Amino acid sequence: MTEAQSAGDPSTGETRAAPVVAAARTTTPDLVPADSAERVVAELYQRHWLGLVRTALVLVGDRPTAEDVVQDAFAGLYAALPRLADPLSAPGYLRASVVNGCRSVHRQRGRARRLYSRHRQDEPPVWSAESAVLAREESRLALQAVARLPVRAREVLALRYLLGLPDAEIAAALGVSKATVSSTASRALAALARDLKEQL
Amino acid sequence: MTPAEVSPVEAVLRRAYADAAATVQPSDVRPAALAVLAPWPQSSAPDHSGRNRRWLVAGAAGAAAATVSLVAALIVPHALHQQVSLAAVPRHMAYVVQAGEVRPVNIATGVPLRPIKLGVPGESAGAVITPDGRSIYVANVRGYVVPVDTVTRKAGRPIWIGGVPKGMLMNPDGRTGYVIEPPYGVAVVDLALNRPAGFVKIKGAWNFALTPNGKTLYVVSWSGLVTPLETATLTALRPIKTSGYPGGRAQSPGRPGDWPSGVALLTVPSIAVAPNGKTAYAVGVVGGATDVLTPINTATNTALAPIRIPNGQWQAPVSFSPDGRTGYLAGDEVAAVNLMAGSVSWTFKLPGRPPFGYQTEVSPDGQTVYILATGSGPGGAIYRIPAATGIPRATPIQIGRVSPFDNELDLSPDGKTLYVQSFPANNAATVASFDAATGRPGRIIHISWPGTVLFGPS
Repeated sequence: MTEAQSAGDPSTGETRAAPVVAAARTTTPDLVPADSAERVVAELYQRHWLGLVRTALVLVGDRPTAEDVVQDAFAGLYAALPRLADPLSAPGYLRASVVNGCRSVHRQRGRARRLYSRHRQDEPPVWSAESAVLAREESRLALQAVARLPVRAREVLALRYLLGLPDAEIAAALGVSKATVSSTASRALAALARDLKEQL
Repeated sequence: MTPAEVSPVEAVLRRAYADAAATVQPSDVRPAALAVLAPWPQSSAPDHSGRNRRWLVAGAAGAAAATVSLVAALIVPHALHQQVSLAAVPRHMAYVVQAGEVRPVNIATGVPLRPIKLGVPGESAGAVITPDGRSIYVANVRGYVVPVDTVTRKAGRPIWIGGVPKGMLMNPDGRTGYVIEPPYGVAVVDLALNRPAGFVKIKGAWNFALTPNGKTLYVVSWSGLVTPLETATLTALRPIKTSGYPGGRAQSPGRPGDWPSGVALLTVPSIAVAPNGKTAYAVGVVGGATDVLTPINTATNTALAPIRIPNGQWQAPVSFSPDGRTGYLAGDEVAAVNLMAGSVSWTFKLPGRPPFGYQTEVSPDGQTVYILATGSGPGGAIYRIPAATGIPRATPIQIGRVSPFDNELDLSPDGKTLYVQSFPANNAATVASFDAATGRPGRIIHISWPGTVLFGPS
């Protein structure tokens, strides 16, 4: 026990003077050489890009902006890799970054709408009548209805029903409690049911 | 959830999302992530074509879009800045640099001022402030360096350098900027004329450090090689081999499909230059558990005898005492290294499971070492450790809930205020300040995403 601990130090860390003979810690059984950041990011890219772009697409509405948001997330991850306390948190970091990026897009569009009569984007939203991508009318109406929901609700629905995440991971991505995720989803589904009943 | 439990509206929603998702196909994923992340321009000429132009239109609103228009704006030569009285430069300011904006903060009162919009979207990836405090330059992940005038509180025309910046350094005269762009090399920016000034290719470049006299940049690569770069001629000299493997410890893979199998990297190549500029230190790993510092003589650019540090997993570059005699490393433990003797003076193991320490900060008088620890559990803490003894003060500064990622600790130049950037809750980042002596919390500033804190003149 160090002096600090015996004095009732709430910290449970310990100080020690440098040992005379340095003993290497036993290596873990599955030790393999570390790899470079490029390979790690490239693998994460292969695994997660598709789901992230699809999620961003339903949150921001157009493909080029969705891709930009996801590119930003990967670029930010690449730079932030050394600061990740737990590298297993990288997928969570990416999701949080994409959600954050989509919110920034909405804020910027809000500002643009206040300055101009229509908001700027390269393509109409994927769910709009002008967009040719969605063949099924029911889907177009459903996504239009989702677009009328509050931002948090849209995020919860996309992470749950498009990305298929369990509520615990949605909570981590949004920085809220599981209970909040659950109640947000319930309210959103109820609102959608009312909205779509009138449309269909 | 079985099909029987899915409500009709959920079924409609799932089909709608599936239809939208089907517009993005697996074949759309490009084979090499970094080739997509860093479309390297062949020349240093500004490139506003293609998707970058789309960013300028889709991301920027109104007046900001005009700022980055392709019509050449008036370039204010550096000399004009010098005609403005330096008495106009704000004092005692910190600048919180984040995505798309710089927020000045009065250090004494903690009051944040109106943010300075940068005019280009994208996370910041390094920023510098000139010694006179007049100009800030922010590199962002989309390949821009944006100049900011702290007196007029306006951003100037962004300088396009391309690639994916990760960090930025500046020559002490404030005229040249260096932006590291892994894994390609270092972009050079003429800050007097606000334009790119070249690019030096260094294979696998990841981190870099500049000597205090600005003459040599040391760039460390993933291979563990350190390449000295003469800034006057932009010449890369013969790379120096460092001891130990520069990266990583083994980590069991998490949930299948989430993380690349096999290895997660935690220790990354790092390089730092001692305050007197005579020695640079690279950090490596030997045998997965023993870390090793490789000192590099900056006069001869040769590696000296390595210093072995047992039981460490070092995450960040070396921090130095003001006299340069002691180096501090942060990881699972904080280690104080007597750089003259090449031995470890003390170590302090951080509590928590797993413990994790970020960036030590050293007080200006060299007496106290601060380390931000974010071990798993509800809260993080700043430990204040007297440099002489290595035994921390009784009560760490509690900083509340922190996330597993993107935490940073900064100390104001007068040594009085600690700033913690973290990502605590609700997907909203904060910068929280604490009195370094008493631990008393100051104001909390809400930001969009963690970035960098710069300090202006006192």
